[in-house]
Amino acid sequence: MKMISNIKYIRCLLRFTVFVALTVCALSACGDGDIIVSKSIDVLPEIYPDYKGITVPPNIAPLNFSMADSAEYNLTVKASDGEKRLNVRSHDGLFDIPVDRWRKLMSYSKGKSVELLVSKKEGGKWAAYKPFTIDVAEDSIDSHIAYRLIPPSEHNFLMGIYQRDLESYKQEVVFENKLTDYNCINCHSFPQQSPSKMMFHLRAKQANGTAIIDNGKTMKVNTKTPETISSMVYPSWHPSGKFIAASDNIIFQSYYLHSQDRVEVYDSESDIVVYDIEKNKLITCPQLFSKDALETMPTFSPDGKSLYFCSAAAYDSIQEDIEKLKYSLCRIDFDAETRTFGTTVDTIYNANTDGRSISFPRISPDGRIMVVSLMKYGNFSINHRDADLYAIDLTSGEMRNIEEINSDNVESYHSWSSNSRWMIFSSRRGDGLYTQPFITYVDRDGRFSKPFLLPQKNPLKHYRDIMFAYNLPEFVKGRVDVNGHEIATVMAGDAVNPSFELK
Amino acid sequence: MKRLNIFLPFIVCSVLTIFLFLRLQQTQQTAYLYREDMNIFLFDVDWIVDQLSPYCGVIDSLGKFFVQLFDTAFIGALLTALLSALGSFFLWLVMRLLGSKGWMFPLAFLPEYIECFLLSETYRHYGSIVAILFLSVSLWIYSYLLKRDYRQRVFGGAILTLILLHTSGSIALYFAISALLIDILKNVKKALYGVLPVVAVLIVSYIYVNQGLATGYDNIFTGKCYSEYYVENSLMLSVPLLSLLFILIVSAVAKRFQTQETSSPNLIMAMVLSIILCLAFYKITDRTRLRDLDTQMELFHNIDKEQWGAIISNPNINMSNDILANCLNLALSHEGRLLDDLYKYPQKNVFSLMSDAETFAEESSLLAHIYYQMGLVSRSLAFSLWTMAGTYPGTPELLKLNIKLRLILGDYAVAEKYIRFLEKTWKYGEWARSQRRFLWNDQAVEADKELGNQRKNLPENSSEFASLHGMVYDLTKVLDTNPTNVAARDYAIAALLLNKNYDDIKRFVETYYGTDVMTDMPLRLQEAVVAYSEKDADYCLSHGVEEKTLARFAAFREKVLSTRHAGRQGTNVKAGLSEFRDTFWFSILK
Repeated sequence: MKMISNIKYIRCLLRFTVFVALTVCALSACGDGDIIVSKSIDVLPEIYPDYKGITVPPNIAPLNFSMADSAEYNLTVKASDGEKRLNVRSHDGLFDIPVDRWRKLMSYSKGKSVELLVSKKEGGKWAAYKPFTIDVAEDSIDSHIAYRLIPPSEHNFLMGIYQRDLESYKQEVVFENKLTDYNCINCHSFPQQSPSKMMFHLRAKQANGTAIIDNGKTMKVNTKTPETISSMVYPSWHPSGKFIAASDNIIFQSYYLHSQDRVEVYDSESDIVVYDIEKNKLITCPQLFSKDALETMPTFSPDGKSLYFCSAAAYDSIQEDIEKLKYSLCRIDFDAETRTFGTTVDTIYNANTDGRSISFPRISPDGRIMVVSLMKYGNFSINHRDADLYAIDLTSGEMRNIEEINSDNVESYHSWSSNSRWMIFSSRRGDGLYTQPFITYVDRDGRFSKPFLLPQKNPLKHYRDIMFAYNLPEFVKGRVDVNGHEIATVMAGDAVNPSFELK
Repeated sequence: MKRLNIFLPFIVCSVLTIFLFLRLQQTQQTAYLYREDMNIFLFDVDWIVDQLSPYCGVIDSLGKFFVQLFDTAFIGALLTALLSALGSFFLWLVMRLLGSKGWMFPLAFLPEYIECFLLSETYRHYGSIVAILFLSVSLWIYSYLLKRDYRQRVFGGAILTLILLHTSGSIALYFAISALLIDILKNVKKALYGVLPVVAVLIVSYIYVNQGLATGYDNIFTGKCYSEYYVENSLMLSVPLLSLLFILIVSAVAKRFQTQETSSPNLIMAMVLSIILCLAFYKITDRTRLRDLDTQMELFHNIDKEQWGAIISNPNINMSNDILANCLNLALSHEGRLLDDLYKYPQKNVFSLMSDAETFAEESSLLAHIYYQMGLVSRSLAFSLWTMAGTYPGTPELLKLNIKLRLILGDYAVAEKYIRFLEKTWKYGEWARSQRRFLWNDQAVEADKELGNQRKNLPENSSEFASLHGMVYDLTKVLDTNPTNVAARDYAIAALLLNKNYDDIKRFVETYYGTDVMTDMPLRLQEAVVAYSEKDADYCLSHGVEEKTLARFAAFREKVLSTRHAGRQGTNVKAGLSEFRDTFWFSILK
């Protein structure tokens, strides 16, 4: 008898639970359901970040955005054929788009576009802004990016390398300098966007050296040899993964007495070496290791047969006459089999003729386009308000200003996705100091789409509050699986000392 | 007598708290104010969650929360004393459980007193005092588990341990060991199962270190956890935690020797213990030998609060310490007395104006303030950015300086970012909000006395680097742009005088005398002109030297000669010239 009573009680409880669940579902469906628009506002909505008319990969995280005020808003995102749609209600101006529904809609809209209709509740009725569209590319984007987060100062205390899953908002630590007494962590680099191999340099008391990580195993290399002027600074992996080209630089930093650019970072000396990982040897040639020239920022071509680099004539009065420091873009052959360089250097871009200076050459993995930063002088483009990105068609040699992605502030460091369809770059268009990462789509004809700011759960709050600059964003094809403690332990130990050969 | 025994702990607690409060106020007043100067706590949910989440985040955040209240040293000392008293009281409850009597109460203060001593060094995080409180409270909570089944006791202990580990750092290990100790000393059933929470903390610590959540085992097992990263680990940092274990053992051991519940020796013993504790604390917190360091903290606080008069009247400024001399000269400049009073103090050389030390964030912060006073905006910006990076996310005063610099430079978006940040603080929010009126409003910036004058100091846009040709050159660039910048002029003259290079002084005089920079010649510079052209009275008179200066020089010269004829040399010559101590001439006497 008691048993029957208990079963009845449980049934009753279950019914009640189902009833409550259905009621909650129904209410929430009402909340995010279609609305009846009774009037229209004849302008496009002011939103942050500006996602109007952009092209996005189908696997990108939801593009949450904010309105200018915290009124009651409704967002309807619908596929171009109207078959699929999602509705989001906002009471604080932020549209927090549900991840699952966004993914389904994006997947459905691959190669097509979605329309976004924002409506505002005014006097109990809905008024709709002009709708805008977002194109959804067929081409996916690499799942991760890796970047440094640094305070915008030459003296860095707290910094680290982080990775961000582009399909969600998840950020994870790759390496933080708190593990090595808050030293400086230099440029990080991955071969062919591979997450299993990476390198970066630590400038620390104990843990000083270059970290080369291969499938989770860390090797500490002392790339400062008696013959070289410094450790490796600006790196580029050979596509084989067996070599790393890098510049050795003696770097200075000076503040201007007064200039819109505030600060300049420049080299008094620089050379290029290639580190042969298998043979533990630094190799170079007179064309890359000249006292008369400042060679820097090397990058291998995707076939690994060419090494591109920036070069400027060396002169004594660099600090007194910084505007004379103009870098050209050069190329030299590299043979990975024989580990030898060509004998002639081609000048791809001549700063002396053009009058501007070039930095950060980066070639798309399909070998078609090279994107560079151009500025009046120098090569540390992140501090040059006039720095813009230019595309060089490697077939025709034609160079053009990528106006569709440039702003009136700094555009600098850029990196290609593994399928050559996406490029991420740094820009200071936000506030002029705290660098932000923007992503642009590059179609098969080499056209760049309007760039969009890296999505965040609450982008307005995130980018307003963050006191770090996004630095050196690099695409990676998957999650970088490293152990920070292990890296710190290895880096605190003895280093491998490579030999040096000038060929 | 029975009533006395009941109230004895409370009486002892009150006495020791009052003593602690008075002594802390006396010895740590600069430390409290300095801590507040360096502290940021934002009333922003996301920020607080970010602060609370990492390893040891709760303790650090609570420390920051309390430090923001240190408006005066009184509040700092009072709060510290109260937190200590609370921690001691909970610890005593645990001690009582082990058999302690009221006279042993002073021992409960031992960890707190030692921790308060460690807090006199600003590298010790204020959260450490909260950590000791957490440890005592956790042990008190654990004492309620003693009557439970061993499984509940061990499980509860392990949960408490792991919560403490993540929220409060290394106290977790000491909690687990203390709990095991209590189990053994209380002879509870299956006491050795108490080792499981210790094992749990060791396992989780291994994971934390290997995942990079904690920087190392010293940061998870020792008191270094509550100190700045650059501090070498030492036994002393862990003494407050170790002393707690010692007290628990003593409590249990002492029980065996206690026979009478009510006796007057209890009061005497309590008094003796209290006096020993107080005397020891009094002795170890004597900071006479650290006067320069305390003076530096005091002066930095005065700079942050723009208390220039307090700096000038500080009797403890050691002018052979460049940093202290820099602070004094900065205050003199703000009061318009840099040149008049330059030789009132024993200036060492040009580093007395601006030290070349820039290793620590505090030093670069001082340089940012000095450059700002000079009107060298770009240099001030460089050092303030450096300091912000070194004290991430910056100190409130540095953020204020950065806001002003960005407004002067017209970098309004960055200024707004910092304003928004500072608006979320309790103490600086109002000031930050008041700066909003300058955003994207050049007219308002230019109409403001401070910002407008600083904007006038900005030289023409050029690619010329600052500091390439030295401070005086940069100052002349400012003077060329804004001839009315008296602070820049005085700093340039002071630097020239302290450098004692006649060619540079002459060049400066001939360039700027008679211009808007120097319609009248400052007295100290007149003395320098006389010094390098003493035989050319016409040159002197045509370059702003007044008759009375020439007359005074004649008197000086005569006195020097007469003193030398009298056979005195070196310092003895100087000793006879005390009435000329404030002159340039006196400074060049060998």
